[in-house]
Amino acid sequence: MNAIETKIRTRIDKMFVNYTPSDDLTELKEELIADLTEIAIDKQNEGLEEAEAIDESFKRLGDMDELMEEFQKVTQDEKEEKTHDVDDSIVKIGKFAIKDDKITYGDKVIADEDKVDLGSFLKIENGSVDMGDGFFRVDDDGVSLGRDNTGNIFTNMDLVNSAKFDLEKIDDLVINYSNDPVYIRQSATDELIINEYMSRDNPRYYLRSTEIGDNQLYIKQGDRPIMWYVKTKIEIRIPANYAHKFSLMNKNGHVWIDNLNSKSELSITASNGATKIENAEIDKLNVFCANGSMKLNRVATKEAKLISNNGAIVVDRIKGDLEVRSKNGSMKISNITGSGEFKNNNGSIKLDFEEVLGNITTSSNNGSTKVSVPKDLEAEFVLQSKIGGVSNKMDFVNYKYQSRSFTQGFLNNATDPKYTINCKSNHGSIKLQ
Amino acid sequence: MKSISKDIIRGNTEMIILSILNQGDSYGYQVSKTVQELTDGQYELNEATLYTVFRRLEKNDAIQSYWGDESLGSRRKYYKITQKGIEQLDANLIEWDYAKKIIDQIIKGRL
Repeated sequence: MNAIETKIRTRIDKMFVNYTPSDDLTELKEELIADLTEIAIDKQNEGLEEAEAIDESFKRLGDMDELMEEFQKVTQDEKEEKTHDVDDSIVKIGKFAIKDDKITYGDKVIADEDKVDLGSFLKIENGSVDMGDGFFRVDDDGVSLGRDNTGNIFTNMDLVNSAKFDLEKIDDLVINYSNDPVYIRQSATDELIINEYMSRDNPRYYLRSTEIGDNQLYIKQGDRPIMWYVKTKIEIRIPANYAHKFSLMNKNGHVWIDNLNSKSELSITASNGATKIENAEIDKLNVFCANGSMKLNRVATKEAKLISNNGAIVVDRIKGDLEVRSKNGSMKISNITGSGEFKNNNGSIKLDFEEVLGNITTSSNNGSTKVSVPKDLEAEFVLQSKIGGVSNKMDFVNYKYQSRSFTQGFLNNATDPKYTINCKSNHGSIKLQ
Repeated sequence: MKSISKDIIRGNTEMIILSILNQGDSYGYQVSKTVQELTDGQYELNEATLYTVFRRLEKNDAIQSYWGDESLGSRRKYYKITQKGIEQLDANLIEWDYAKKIIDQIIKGRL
């Protein structure tokens, strides 16, 4: 072993000190050491000093996060068993581990910020859903069934049907598409406009509408061929002044909302498929996703309810009183102006409040909870976990009660605070900061 | 030096590595050196990307690895493309040609 290799080996060992030793990890380390040594020797031959050459070789490592995801960091966990470190955010039950935003089983990541992976049965990643090992897929290009979907990607779609509806007398609008990607946008007029884009034109495929009673409008997708796949895209343009109920049901397909200003009470049910909402002002918003992720960015509401079964919920810049629930998948909500109730079964909860305007309640089963609030917030707090530790990192805290898994008190010398922060967990740690 | 945008290359690293291994078994740094040489230094595959892709390809049985017997210096793990990998590469190349053509049509075409 030469001097360069020894130095590189030492540095690599230090880098991986937090990972559990395994054959797999040792092999990877050996490969990296061999590569970096060769790079450093090349650099030295180009005229660099030994120390510089080694530094240069380490620059070639790049961002190791994705690569290291497969390897388990467990030193923290071992520590927890012995010392019950309050700061610790790992929970382990056998091979099943929950740390920060991630749920793992052995070496495998089941759910994190971007994905849910239950093996070939169900994978949800970056907004695409894959069931039955590719048999059923939903992604940015639409929905495909069966493995043979090449060629669909660049299929041309033409606007084949444009329907307009007068909503003046309507206070209950229901739109039902089963398999199509749907875009909701602003209508420039007072009318509801639905544009249907399809790869083949056939009037049988056009939407059908019925008025039920004198106030409900029900719109349903037309026929879809069973044998020959037709690619579709639906654009719904909703008038800004429509201030009543609007329900969109979509079974297998994405829902996108972009630049929408609506006074309506909008309910989206996306059974299999991701929902993405950006730059929207919606009075009341309900989103339910069975399998698929939810991404919201710059959304202002009075009240919003976001419910997901399998899939992550990622929100940035949201205003309103929120109710967010998830079964499997992490929850990350940043820059909140408002208040709310947040529940998660398997997956972490990460909340970052810019301004608190009401009570904050969180509860989780498996998964850590992290709540960040403004420094000067006056509030009462209760943090409790059955197995994980709880910690309060705020600067000014008056404790009424303080133990490893239960703390109660006031923030910032509040005597009669308006708001309460209440966080509960069964197996995860809780952190207020 | 000008270098190619990461976004453009990201979806194609599997194809790039398969096509290099299709020319013969190789190990980590040798693969990234080949990429660097082929692109006159305009694209540098870092170690993290390289091994992330290696591991993914191996998991999908597109490549296999074996420890080589190096008499000089350290022992090397070599990667070898499999029949499945060759098939994936062929499919990738067809898709790539197709995508290239269509994207060109879109961005260069004027109605």
